[in-house]
Amino acid sequence: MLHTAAPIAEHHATVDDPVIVTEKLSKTFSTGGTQQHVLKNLDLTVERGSFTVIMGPSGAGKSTLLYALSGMDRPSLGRVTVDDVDISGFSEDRLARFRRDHCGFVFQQIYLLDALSVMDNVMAVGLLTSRDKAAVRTRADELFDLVGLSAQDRRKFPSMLSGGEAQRVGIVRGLINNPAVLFADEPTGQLNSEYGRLVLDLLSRVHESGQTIVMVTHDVKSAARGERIVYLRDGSIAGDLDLRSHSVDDGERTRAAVGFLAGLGW
Amino acid sequence: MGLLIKRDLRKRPGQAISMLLLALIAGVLANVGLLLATDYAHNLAAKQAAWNAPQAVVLVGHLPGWETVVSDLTRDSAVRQVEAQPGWLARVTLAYGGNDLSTLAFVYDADSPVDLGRRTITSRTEVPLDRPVWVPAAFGASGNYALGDPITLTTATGAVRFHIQAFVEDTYTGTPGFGLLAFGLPGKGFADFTDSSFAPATMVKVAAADIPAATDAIGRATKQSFPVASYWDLNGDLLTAGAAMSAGIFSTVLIAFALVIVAVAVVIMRFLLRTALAEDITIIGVLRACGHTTGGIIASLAATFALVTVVGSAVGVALSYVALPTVARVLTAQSGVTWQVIFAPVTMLGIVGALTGVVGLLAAASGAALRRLPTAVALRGGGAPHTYRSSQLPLATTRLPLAPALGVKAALQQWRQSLVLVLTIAMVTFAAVFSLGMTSSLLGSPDATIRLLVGELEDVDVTVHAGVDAHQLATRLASVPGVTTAFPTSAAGVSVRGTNMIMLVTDDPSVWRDDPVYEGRLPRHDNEVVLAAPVASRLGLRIGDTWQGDVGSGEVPFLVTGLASGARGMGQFGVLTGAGYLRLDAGFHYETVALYVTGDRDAVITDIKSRFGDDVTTVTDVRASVLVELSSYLSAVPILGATVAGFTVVVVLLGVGLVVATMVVRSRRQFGVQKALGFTHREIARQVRWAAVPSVALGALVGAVVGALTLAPLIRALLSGIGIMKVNVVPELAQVVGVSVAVISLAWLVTWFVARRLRGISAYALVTE
Repeated sequence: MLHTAAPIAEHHATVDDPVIVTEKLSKTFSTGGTQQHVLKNLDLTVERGSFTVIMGPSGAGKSTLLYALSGMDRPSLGRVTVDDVDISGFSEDRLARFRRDHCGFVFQQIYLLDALSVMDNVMAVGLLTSRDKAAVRTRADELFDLVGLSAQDRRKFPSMLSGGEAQRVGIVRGLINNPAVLFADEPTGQLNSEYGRLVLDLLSRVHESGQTIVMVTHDVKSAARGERIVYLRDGSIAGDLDLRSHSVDDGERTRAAVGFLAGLGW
Repeated sequence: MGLLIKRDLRKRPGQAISMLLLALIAGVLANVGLLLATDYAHNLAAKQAAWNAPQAVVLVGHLPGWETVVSDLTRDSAVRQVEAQPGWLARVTLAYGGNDLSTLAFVYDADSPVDLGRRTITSRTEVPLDRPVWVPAAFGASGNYALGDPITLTTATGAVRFHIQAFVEDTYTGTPGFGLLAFGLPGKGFADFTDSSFAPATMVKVAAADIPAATDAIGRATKQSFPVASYWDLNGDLLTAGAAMSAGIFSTVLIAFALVIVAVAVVIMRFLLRTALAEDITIIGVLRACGHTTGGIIASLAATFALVTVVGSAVGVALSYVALPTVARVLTAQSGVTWQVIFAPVTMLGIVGALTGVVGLLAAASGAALRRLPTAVALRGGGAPHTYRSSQLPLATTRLPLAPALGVKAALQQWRQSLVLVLTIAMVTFAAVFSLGMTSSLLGSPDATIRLLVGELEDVDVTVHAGVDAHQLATRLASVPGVTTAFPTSAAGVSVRGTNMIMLVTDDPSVWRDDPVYEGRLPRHDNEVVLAAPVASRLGLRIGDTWQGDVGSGEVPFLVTGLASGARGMGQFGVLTGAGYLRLDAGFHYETVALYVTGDRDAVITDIKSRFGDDVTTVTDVRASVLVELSSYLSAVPILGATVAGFTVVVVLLGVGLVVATMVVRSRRQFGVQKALGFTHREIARQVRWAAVPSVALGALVGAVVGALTLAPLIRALLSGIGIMKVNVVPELAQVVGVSVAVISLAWLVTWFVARRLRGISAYALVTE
């Protein structure tokens, strides 16, 4: 099954409540006088409550797209609108405020602050948007309970955690401010298969509760947790697959994803 | 190794420049301090040797029998050489450095050949002058005089006006601080000189085996041949103590501050080295994997820092020669002896070598930990960088806002870095508080200065005419508007084992405004005496001991009831009651009335002159005159204060800048993560400030408290050599707080400036690295 521009148009047509909209999004890097066009006139809409997976070969622009969508980086041309707010021209500080209010992040390298305890890693982000410490603490405890980290774990420092535990803390941190979108950049990239599965299970549960997720991954099994796969090649969307009609439980969704990717030369 | 050094310098130019500056400052201070401590004293001794300076001098008036003083000294077997220089003596008032100076003036024949105590002309004009005079070189250095200028000596009966033909260097009579100034009259000037206020006198100079021998010989001669105490005397010990006092204070403070700088540099450098090693651990692993030895890598690190130190300290030592002429000028004004600053390569090499050695050893010691680190571990970036065990200030419960809480948490967890800041700031704040405290206590107000350096001192002295009863005059003077207290007083010369000392005499010393006694009490009865600390020390006397006084009619015992503080007569003074002095000299009568005055002293003096002109000979503003005498010493203080303050600023800038900059570099990834998670630049900058400023504040507090508590003891230690033991210097709270606030504000500014680097940290760059 080969998906080209046509399914994209079909997909756009089905979006009733977009949370992210890009219009002719382009990103160009200049290195030593050479210009590299990483994203080219990219139009993309992400539906609220969806689980969108971005895939593509190395250098396709996956992470660049993720960070452009999340306000981590500004586009060279075009627009990015999140929650009806055009963030394309925001200053660095305004983008930072935008990120704390609208975005959650789960990184491949996890990036916990090693001088802070597990709880403080989460509280530090939660307190960016709320001065009600008790409320933030309660929210953090709920999320820790959700990801299965005990009260004892919450007092630990990152160096005392396994990779899987650390990434669960990363997920709690990403969700602490009830973000409009949770951005995950290769969240299982540095984990063994068991921890990777645990983290994906968590993301699925979070999504089931209504959380919008945009995830970059190289892994087909991870991609099959999503509802939609956007495939990038050379800075453009080469394919876009809606997986919602495929069941997760019997492996149908994985097979659909494999077929889709195979058709794109994956 | 050369390549590694080059790489280290290129990678950390800021650190290299900062270390260079610290080494430079240490070099400047150490060289100035050491030259003052060694070459200045050597220069004084060399000049005295070149001029064949006598070990002791005494000025005798031409009273009956005075000639026998010279003949007795000539016959004294302990005396190697005696020289008598005739002249004229009077108490005069003259303008000096913008004030009136009251001093003894000795007029001598400038053309008369002198062997003992030769004088050197430092500058001379060939322009013909009316009544030419040679004056001490200090007049040019600090008296606001130039060649050809007129100079007026005002006496009790009139004024004598000369024109300055030459400035001369002179050991004993070349500076106001010693109480006697010599004026040479060339050509026919001396032969033609006549003035009713000037009495004939002879300066007797004695050379013996050593200073005590010369002093004792003068004591024997004056006691046997000349029953009335001489006008003035001085020996080599007191001369050197007076001339070297400021140089001693200068060198002590500068060397101490250089040591502070070195200590700060060592603390900072150790921190930088540890940080550099932590940052470079992977590179070090690669180098070792490629075959470099651990010793070679450590050597390259040590060599980098040592190289920077060599260059910095060498430049500092060289630059110190720019500052030294100014210091030399101040010291010349104090001693009357020109100090030609010499180039001292041994001192220079010693300083550079010592500083470099300290730095090299420290670098080698810091790098030694590398030896225990396996190459494979180094390649993986070393062991666990942190071993945090407990979370201070949990964010869920702390009352602090987020940014301060994160900053303070970082400061607590990175305690080594915080300790570096605390120590650095504590040391420089201590130096600044001490320096400012010393400056203000010596220069803050004339009253405080006199109280500290002189002790008890009246405002105005009224010298009574012969035959006038001082007690009656005092009673009448007490009714003059502006005069609060009037009492007869005398500063009489007393011989103690051959050395003259000033005996302050008054009927009831308890009327004094300032009690100079720091241990014991003032004399109340005629058999009690108080001695200045240096006198008591020299005689080995303590409270309760018996002192034998003698003014020529035999020794009289007195009970020592107290020890006094003060630099009067370079600490050679004592206190007796009027009745007590009568036991020494039955013919004693007061010749002076001391006045305490409120308001305009000049108006009171004018009033007294107009109303009591027949009964008084001179009316002197004593405080103004003493301040002029002290001015040559005090002129060194602001230079010292400014030097220390300037270096304090530089060290705060460098210390805080280096530590915070290193923290920013080291936490680059953490700040990138924070930015990615939604922290703004300002929030992170605030966090950085809170990580540094509490440590700075703690350091400033510690330094300020230690500086305030040690101010008086340290000033006392610096000045005890000239008899100042009672140092009731209380640092002003506003000053201490002001210094602390200034240091903290400066540190805050530095942190703010350094934190601007955070703008360059991109969340995107972090996640795409």
